[in-house]
Amino acid sequence: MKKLCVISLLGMALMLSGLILGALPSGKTAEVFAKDDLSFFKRKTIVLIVSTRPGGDYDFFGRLVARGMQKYLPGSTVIVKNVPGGGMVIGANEIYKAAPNGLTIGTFNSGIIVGQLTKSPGVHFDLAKFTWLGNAAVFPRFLAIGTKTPYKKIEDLKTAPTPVKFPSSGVGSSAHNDGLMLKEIFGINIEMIPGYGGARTDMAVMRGDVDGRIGSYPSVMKNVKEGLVRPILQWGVKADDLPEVPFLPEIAPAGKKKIAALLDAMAFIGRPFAAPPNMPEARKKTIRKAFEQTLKDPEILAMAKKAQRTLTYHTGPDVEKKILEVLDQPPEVISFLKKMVE
Amino acid sequence: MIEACLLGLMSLFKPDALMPLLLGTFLGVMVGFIPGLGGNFLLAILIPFTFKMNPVATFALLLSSHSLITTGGSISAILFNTPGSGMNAATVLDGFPMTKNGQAGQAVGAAITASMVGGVIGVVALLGVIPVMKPMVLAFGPPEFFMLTMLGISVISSLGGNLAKGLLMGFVGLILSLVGQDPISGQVRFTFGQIYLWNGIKIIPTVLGIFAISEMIHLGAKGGSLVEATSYIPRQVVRDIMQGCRAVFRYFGLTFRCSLIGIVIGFLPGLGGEAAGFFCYGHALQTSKKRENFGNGEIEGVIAPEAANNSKEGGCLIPTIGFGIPGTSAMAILLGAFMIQGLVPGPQMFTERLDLTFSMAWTVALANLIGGLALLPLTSQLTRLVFLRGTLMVPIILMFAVLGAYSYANHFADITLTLFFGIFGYFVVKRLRYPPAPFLIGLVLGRIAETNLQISLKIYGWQFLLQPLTLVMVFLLLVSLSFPVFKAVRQKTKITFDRLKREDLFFVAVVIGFLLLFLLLSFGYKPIARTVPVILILPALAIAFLRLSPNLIEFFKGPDKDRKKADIPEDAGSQPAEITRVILWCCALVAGIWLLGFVLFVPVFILLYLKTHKEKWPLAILLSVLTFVLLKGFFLMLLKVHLYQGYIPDLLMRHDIFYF
Repeated sequence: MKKLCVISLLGMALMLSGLILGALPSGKTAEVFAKDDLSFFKRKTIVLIVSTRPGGDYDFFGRLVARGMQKYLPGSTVIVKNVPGGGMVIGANEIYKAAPNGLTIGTFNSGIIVGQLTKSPGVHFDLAKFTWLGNAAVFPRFLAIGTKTPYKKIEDLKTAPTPVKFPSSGVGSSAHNDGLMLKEIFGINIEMIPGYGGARTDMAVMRGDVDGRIGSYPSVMKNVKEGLVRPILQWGVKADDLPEVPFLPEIAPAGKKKIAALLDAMAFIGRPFAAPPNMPEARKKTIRKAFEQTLKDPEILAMAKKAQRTLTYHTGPDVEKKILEVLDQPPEVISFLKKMVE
Repeated sequence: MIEACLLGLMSLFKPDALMPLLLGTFLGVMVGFIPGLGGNFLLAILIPFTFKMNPVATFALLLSSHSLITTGGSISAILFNTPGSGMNAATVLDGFPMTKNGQAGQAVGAAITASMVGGVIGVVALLGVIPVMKPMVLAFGPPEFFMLTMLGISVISSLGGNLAKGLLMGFVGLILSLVGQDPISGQVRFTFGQIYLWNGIKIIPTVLGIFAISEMIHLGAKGGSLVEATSYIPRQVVRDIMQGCRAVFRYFGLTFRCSLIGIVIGFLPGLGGEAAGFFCYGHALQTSKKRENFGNGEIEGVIAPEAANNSKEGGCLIPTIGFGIPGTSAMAILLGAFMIQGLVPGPQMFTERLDLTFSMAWTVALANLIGGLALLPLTSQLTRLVFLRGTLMVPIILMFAVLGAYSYANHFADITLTLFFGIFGYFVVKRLRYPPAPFLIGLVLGRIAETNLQISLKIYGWQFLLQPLTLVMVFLLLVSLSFPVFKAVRQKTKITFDRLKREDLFFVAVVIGFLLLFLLLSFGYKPIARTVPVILILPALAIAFLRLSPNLIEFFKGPDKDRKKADIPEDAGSQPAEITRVILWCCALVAGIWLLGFVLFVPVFILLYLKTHKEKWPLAILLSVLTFVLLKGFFLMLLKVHLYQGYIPDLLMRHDIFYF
């Protein structure tokens, strides 16, 4: 009995010393009273949550932003934490629930808007309330049709004799949602074939199991360069090197403008960076500024260029405005979306 | 081409490439050896460091470290029954029994040599296959993938031991693999409202639980060490190791075939690296003359998976470099490195940048050779670790298992999953002697099989079975399935079902309960999402009831006079009190990490565990402090790996009271 007491006392002492030792390298108490908010980040660890597994574009941009933020929040250490799962919802949830002190930020894709609009049970965030840092990269999204098929324009797909097949990684994925929305907008005869996770979509296109591909610029351009597909529709933002490809907001039929606008806006919002809601103003300004500086930093831009990616900065308020627009959808769009994810 | 080959080799001998190569080799073996920390973890940590490195050095570091993970992992699989990485799971099946038979040296020697040979064969194949690469990769579509997974699953029926037990575990694994959101229909199945389960039950935390944690529960309850030291003769061990090395060449046919299988599985995206070990283990079992002894310590059972999981590395580089299609999830991370370096995978890698491709190939080959050769002399010392007393081993391995589970996807729930499977593994695998391999094969391959079947049906209808390559595989499948049938016929085995003892009875009853629950849930799902679960649950129920039948008959008819004694569980000596105590320690670890986070709680846990097991103060404090330095200094500060914060530290930071 006495031994147990001694042991547990020692255990507690160790914990206490751990608390102290743990604090020594990192922070002091009551940094909150500092006048200059930048000094809050000295010797602190910031976690940047990337809602996908390591590797891939989101991860790459997350790591670039992490490097930049560390430079512009002097004294801080920014750690990238990959939190994949649930179609990026798990990562978004974690960002949302973190403490709004600037020590947690993160990125996910705009597709989770659909999850919120359809009140998906796993969604524990409200996109309207996130503290938006801004956007680092905006890619055009394409619908590209196989070069071996006879179709040249999006209108041709309306009269296709058999359903034109497009791969997606699964029901609820971006490509899948995009395809179904385009089907609704244009009345085209296409069929989404889910189940082609990850690299399997590329293989399906190469094998000719499918007739085309829907996706973002980097993924689709790979197949375009191989001569396998050609883009016949783009949305989100116009690709500089493909101005002749029709742009969705310009050719969407009158009755379907709302859905077209949603699709376009989701691509435009792309892969935003956010922090938890209810952040104090001064802190919000500080991290938004660091984010902006990151995206204008020549070294960071050079690293992106080397990887053949372009960084396009959109400010926090811009992204916030777009998000609020997008969250305001009429009931018929919402019921279409609900049917879509079923 | 020769020029590029030589250029590639020479570029590795410059100090700025040689250093990363050697460092990577060392790191790979170390991280592989530590149970729980796997290949993707190391790659993800190393990526940020490559921003400022040149391409040759980058891949020298990344590829060497990744290739050696399974080599290091095989050692802990053999010595401690805990696979160092998910891909070493198959190695424990015969590796650890060999250790218990006093043949640890042979096993480790064979594993390391098989890894080396497999790795080199993998690289040679990579280079040799380049001209036919594209048609080869493209020959495999959903129908072929489906058949491959069926081939893998069919191995379940051949795995040694009680057929009914194996099949039941196999079906349970297959059914559990369906947990999550079905990509084909979007139907979320069997998640009980937890979004965490939407992506399914992850294999790595499961493997860690079933092997590492269950072994530690067993060790903690029984006391002593993993293997009781009767006599230890250093020279004997060295001789054993050499014997193991030679075995790889004695069974060269097997080594070679498994290397080829590993390469194929590597370059097929979507199968996952873990499948390679099991496929080859099954192949070894089906082609071996000593197949009856598999599971009790047959060296072929070690050579086969180890050759495959190293050759797989060469295999998965093929589509990765060739088309930017990652063969495994680790390759997806590697593609990130391509991006950072400004390289584009594709034809240029085999034309303008052929020298870089060759340097990558040489990296894998050299790393395997250097790593293996450097490791062999050390293994004689490493094998002594099995005699380490349990009071030291248990907390340390528990710590790494939990760390590995968390690091997999940074979900705290993975730690709870590991704990759950640890307890499951202890009772079901260790005490009741149900084989883990069928369960794991089912878990890895089940959903992949279903997805590919559904796509194949959608695109081709049932005619998909008539495609040439698919037909070949159907034939192979029938051959594979006929093995247990022939065996039974030849040995004139009577299919008997022994009366189940109490624990087994309880387990089977629980399984029946869970199967019925899942069946009920299935009827609420969309038809296309309902079919495969029902097809799996019904036979599983049948087998479960068959196992139960003697007890049911007895229940209704009254006890039989000449009952046979059922299996005695391995842990018959451990008292329930001891077992409960260890399990409570495991639960305390998980709860403590939830409350206080890794950095604060784990050192305390180590100290408390050691002291309550009567270890001396200096050692306890030393290990505790070392753990703290490891977690805070090494992981957090140096490697920038996020460790779970803990509820209380988070609360303190949230209210600006204290920052960590």
